[in-house]
Formats: sequence, C-alpha cells, structure tokens
Amino acid sequence: MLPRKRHLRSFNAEACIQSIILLSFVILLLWLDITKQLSLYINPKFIILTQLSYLILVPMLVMQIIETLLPTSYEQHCHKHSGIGKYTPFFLFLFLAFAVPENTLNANLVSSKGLNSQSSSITVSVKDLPRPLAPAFSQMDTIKVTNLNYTEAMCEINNFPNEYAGKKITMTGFVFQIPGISNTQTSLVRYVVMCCTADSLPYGVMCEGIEIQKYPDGTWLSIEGIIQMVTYDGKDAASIKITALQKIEAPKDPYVYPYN
Amino acid sequence: MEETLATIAAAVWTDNWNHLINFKVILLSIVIESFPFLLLSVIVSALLNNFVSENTIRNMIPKNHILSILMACFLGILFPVCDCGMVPIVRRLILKGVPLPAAIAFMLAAPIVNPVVSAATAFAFQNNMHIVLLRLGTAFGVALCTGLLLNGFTRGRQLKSPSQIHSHGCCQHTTNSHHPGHSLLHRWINTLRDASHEFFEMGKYLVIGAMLGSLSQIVIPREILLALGQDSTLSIGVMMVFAFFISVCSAADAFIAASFSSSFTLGSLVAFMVFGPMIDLKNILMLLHTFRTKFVCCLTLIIIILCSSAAYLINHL
Repeated sequence: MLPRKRHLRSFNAEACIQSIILLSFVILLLWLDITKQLSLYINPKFIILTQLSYLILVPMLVMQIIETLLPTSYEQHCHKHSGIGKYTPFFLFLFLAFAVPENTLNANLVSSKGLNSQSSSITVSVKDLPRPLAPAFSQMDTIKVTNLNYTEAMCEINNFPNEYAGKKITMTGFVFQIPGISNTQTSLVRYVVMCCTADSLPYGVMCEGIEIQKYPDGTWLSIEGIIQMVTYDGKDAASIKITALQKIEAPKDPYVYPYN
Repeated sequence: MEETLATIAAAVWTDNWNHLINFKVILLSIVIESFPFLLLSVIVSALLNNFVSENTIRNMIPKNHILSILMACFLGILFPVCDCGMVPIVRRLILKGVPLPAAIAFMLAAPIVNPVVSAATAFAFQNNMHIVLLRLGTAFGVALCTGLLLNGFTRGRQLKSPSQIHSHGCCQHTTNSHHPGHSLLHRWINTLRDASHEFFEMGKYLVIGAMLGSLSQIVIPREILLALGQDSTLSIGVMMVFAFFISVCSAADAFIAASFSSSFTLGSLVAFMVFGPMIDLKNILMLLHTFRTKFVCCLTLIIIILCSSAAYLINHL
C-alpha cells in the first residue's frame, strides 16, 4: 500500500506546482495589464489577445486547484514523472519577470541591432519606395517628428538628405554614440516595434552639437535643430545641427508603433 | 589603482545589468506575444481530443493522399495560426488519424500561407506584391514537396511511443479519448485538463526557445550579418541560420526581413521568411519532444534543402 500512497502524494505535489505556475502567469499578465505595461512588450493592438489569454488561464487554474485538493478524483495515476525539474524553465522565466524591475529596452541593444542610418544606402530599391510624407514635408519649414510619423520621417531624412537640408526639425529620442574610427558619432534614436519588442529596430538620425556628446547613451533628449547634409563613410547622410536641447524624462511610451 | 578597478567593475556591472534588462524585456515580449497562440493551440487540440471523433476527421480528408496533402497546404487560409503553437495541434491530428504527410504539410504551410501573414508581409515591404507572392509561393512549394516526399518515403505516424511521452502514457486518456457516452460536463472538464497538461508540456519548450532566441538577439551583432549579405549563396545560409535562432512570429518576421532589404539578396530574404516559421529554435524543441528524433532530423534536412534551393533559384533567375 505504501508505494501507491507515494504516487498519490507526488501527483498531488505536481498539480500543486502547476497551480502555482498558472497562478503566477495570471498574476503576471494581470499586473502588466493593470499597470499599463503591456504596451512596453507588445503592440497595443494585440493587448486584447493577452487579456483573452489570462481569462482562459483562470478555468485551467481552477481545474488544477481542484486536482490538487482531490488527487484521487481522476482515474489515471501517474507512474513515471521526472519530478519538478521539468518546471525549471517556467520558474526561471517567472523569476526574471518579477525580479528584474526595469521594463524598457536600453541603449545597449542598439549596437547589436544596428542603426538604420548606418546600414541603409541609397539604392534603386529605396528610390522606388512610395514616399507618403514627402509632399507634406516639402511644404513645411519646421518638420515636427512625432510618434505617428517617426518611421517615415527618419527614412525620408536619412534617404534624401539633399531635399531637406536647411529645414528646421524638432524631435525626441535617446542618445547613442557610435564608436567611429576617427571621432565618435552621436545619434538620436528610438526603437521602432512592429509586433513585440523582440522585433524592435533602432531608428535614428545623426546629430551634431557641442552639448550632446556630454550625455551618456540612453539619455532622453528633446531637440531642435537644422538638417544638414554631411558625408559619412563616403556617402551622403543627414545630420542635425542642434540649436536647442532639453533633457527629458524617458517617455511613458518609449517605442514607436508604426502602422497603428 | 583600486579606484580604477572599482570604476571598471562598476562599468562592467552596469553593462551586464543593461544586457540582462534587454534580455528580460525581449524574453517577456516573445512569451507574452506567443502566449495566446500557444493557449489557443492547446485548447483546440484538447477540444479535438474530446469533441471530435476519429471518424469525423477521417471522413473530412480526401481518400487520395496527394489530394489530402494539397488540401492541407491550403487549410491555413481558413485557420490563420501562428507557428508558435502548431505542434500540439498537429500531434493531435495525427493521433486522430490524419496521415502524417498531410499533417506535416499543414504544419509547414499554415503559418505562412494565410491572410494575416500575407497582409503583414505586404505591409512590411510597402505593398511590394512581388515579394509577398514569392514568399507564399515558396512556402506552398516547400510544404507540398515535403508532404509528397514524406508520402513516398515514410510509413506510420513517426510519433514517439506513448512511454516516451508522459502525458499520453499517463495523466490523460490515450489516443481514444473520445467517449461519446460521457456527459457534456465531463467532456469540458477533460478538455480543460488535457489543455493544461499540454500547456505545461509545450510551454516549457516555448520558454526555453524564447530564452535562447533573446540571448542570440543580444549576442549576434548585426554587422557580422551585414558583411555577408551581398554574397548570393552565402547570404541564404546566413539568413536561414539567423531565422532559426531569433524565433520571431511569422507575422512579425517580415518586418525584420524588410529592415535587411537594402543589404541582403532577395533570395535570402525569402529564405528567411519561409524557413523561420517552419523550423526555428522554439518549435524544433517541441518537434523533438513529439516526433522521433530521426524523423525530425530528416524533416529539417528536407526543408533546409528545399528552402535554400528555392532561394538560390530566386537569386539566379
């Protein structure tokens, strides 16, 4: 009788662990949703899916709790289970999720993701792309870069610097210094996110000014300046000559979600 | 001296701490993003198990094997699923009597040949329909060829035997779970129970895959990738390896591919967008858990060969 008893108890423990994991997932998702942090991880238009998923988790959790309390209610018994080792990935994940407080990508990732203004070159394909903002921008004296037009504005300015040279511009972003061969090149950057932060890409534009190099990577700045054409790596590139600069708090919505 | 050491130590600490934060943010975003799809898939799988009998499914599939594979390739149009959660559904379908080649063809085609992914691809490449058609066409071709090859060369289900997988040997009913006699309540309870068992079984691999994926995002510098991008053969290999490791959703990978469009060959971009959703870190772990190792190796090899030759053709035509 003794071995059978041990079976029941180990099964019971397993259901208990599963309940704890399910509960933690519900708490994690609920907490992220209530504190409005979900948009720091996924595109806001997918938040509804996450809400649905924690609603689905609740009946599963109830089921597991019942199973924990009534281990014999189910006719099948587990005969071989490798124990709690197989739940390590879940615990590791939950530990990271709760123990690392920061929730926003920092400037460290820019170097491994690569900045758009460094990699893109004016090729035939770029010239063929539609330019929805070009007519509006060419009319403006001051180009205001916002959350809504960020991606297109950065593409326009970086790909066609000759058309925008001399225009005023206002934008916000964080500082990122590209270690260059001769001198360090400073850029103002934001992450552009399509689906989830895993596919984030840093978009930015080079900036010049005595002040800006004093700020460490990741400092959020709001700037005003004039677009000018420079030569970088033997290619035409855009650079902003800063006329006014203000250090700001990191915004609540640090990522740009285009096409929303 | 000590002060300098302390400054260096502090700098290294901040640097590593920043990397850890990025790792955590990317990991959480992958898991949160794929979570609903995983849940959906384990629930569909559990519903299939408890509410649909083998006979129903058998009657729905064309008797002709080739025809059934062809049909499987188009099913994604009706069920726009993400690749994150395909494996549980496919396993259940095979247990329910769907022939292996058709089930695999469905698994390979559905995450790509569907309206959501086509729309996302068109979006990412700013309505360049050429690329969308190349992607869908290649995915369809690869899924169809793989299905036909499996049809010719494999027998049986290729699933691991129940004793190798806990969940089917013990904690739930085995293959014939559908008991018409059971009350509706009983079936719903069993559905929930099956779903949560499968959730734990597959979720583990999703989490491990997401961890490795986020790690590779942090350690693989883009410059190395860019340096290899213009070579017409090498770029294909590089992009396929990259797709395997980063493990992003099939709806999102087009945007990543688009960000490479100025520096990578067209064939390699298509290879990236076709191979990634079919085989990547997180789903290969689930595949290895579900199917025989030898079968998974053969399948992966077939897909690699098909994808790279298709990409090679695109580059050279």
